[in-house]
Amino acid sequence: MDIQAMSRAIHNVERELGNALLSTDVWTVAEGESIAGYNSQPVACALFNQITTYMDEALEQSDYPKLDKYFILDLQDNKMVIVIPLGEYIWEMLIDTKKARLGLLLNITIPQMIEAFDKIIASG
Amino acid sequence: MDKQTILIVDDEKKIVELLKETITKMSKNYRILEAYNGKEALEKIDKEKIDLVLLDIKMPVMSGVQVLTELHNKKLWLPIIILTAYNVSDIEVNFREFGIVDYLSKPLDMVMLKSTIGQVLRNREQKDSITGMSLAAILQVLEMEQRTGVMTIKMEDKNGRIFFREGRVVDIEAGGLSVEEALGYLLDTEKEDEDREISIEYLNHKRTEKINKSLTEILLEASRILDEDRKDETAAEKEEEITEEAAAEIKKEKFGKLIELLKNDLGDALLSTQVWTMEGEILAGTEERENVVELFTQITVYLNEALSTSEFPELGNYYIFNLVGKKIVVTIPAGEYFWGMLIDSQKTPLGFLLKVVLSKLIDSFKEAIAA
Repeated sequence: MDIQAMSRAIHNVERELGNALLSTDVWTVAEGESIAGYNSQPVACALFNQITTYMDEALEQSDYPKLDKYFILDLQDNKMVIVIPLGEYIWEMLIDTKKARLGLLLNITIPQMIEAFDKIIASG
Repeated sequence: MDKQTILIVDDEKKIVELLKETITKMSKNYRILEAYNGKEALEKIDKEKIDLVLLDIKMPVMSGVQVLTELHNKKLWLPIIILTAYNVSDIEVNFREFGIVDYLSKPLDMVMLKSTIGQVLRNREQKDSITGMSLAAILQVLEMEQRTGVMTIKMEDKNGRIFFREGRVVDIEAGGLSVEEALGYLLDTEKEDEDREISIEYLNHKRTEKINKSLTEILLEASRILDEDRKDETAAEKEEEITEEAAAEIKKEKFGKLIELLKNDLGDALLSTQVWTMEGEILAGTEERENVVELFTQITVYLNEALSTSEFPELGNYYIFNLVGKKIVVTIPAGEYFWGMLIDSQKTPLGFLLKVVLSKLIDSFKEAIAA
């Protein structure tokens, strides 16, 4: 992965979300350790790595459609976690929903993140 | 054979010594305890297993009357022989409610004393412990044999005592209940299988006769009261069942209305939806897909566990999965209930779904659950 390109993508998200972005990390599924991020949280990397693996497996084993680009967990204390798994990598971000403009986040930022993430990983 | 314990309660040391000497000579099987006032007597009764109390009435610190009252309040029945300098016929009527088996006037007639003690303790030795017989049957046997004594019924939640004289039931005690209620309670056959101990002491008690009915009449009245109690309990249980059923129906109706609202908001973007319980019962929905219900119940349980054991905040109102085939699935867990919906993501922008549709429906869903 092009770490500099990934850092630029994270910086773009940081700029768009402002103080609504509490933390974000990108890590490899195999290691579960952050390779790029903002307010990096190792605990979040380990936790959401585990959760993503469980979700993937649970949906794979069912006759339900499989997980595609992302999943969102609404959390207590006005927080939201957005997880974008892509092959060997996972991008996660923790948002303060009181400060975020959800329409912008959900309709613009997330699709942009997915597109940028796709491109970075595809470019190797 | 275990020794029988006699508690002598008198403030006059000479009398205590005299009684002790006389009783010790009567039999080696008697163990003597002494108390010089009522307070000491109660302490010994609390600590020791006493078979007979010889009780003086007039004592300092705490009188014999106070001892009797205290034992009566504690529902503790013990054979008691009153030792008194008063005229027995003057005081007898006042003490009938207590566990008195005889009165001996002071100065004491030792021959009479020995005879009375011997009789009480022999009767106590012959105490019957009864198992495998109903209480009604025992009372009928006692009536046939015209016995006199006290039956003690020990149960898990309440103890009772039936006093009988020459086969007739003269009084019944059970935690402040009326005679018939007490007998109904003691006769309750459902309690017979429980850990219940019945023992009978054939003693010449002085209990006042409060019951002026034959055993058959008492048993019939007790059965009637018992039946009424059971009917009341059954009616209360039924009412509770009906209330629960009605609440479940109201919930289902409200869930159905919420689904209609969701359909109106999403139109053909809504592919399917279900409301279900933690046990997997589908309460409302467009179709019944038990495997989906099971899958998302498991996922929710997993998420709750994973988040609650982490430093992260716990799961909030919903979670969303973006799925292959341009679909998104939204799950709203609320306590024991779940609402899941599969949506065509091409037909509904995520922002509209979360900000407009879900924010409104989540509150209504919680209100429906609370109904």
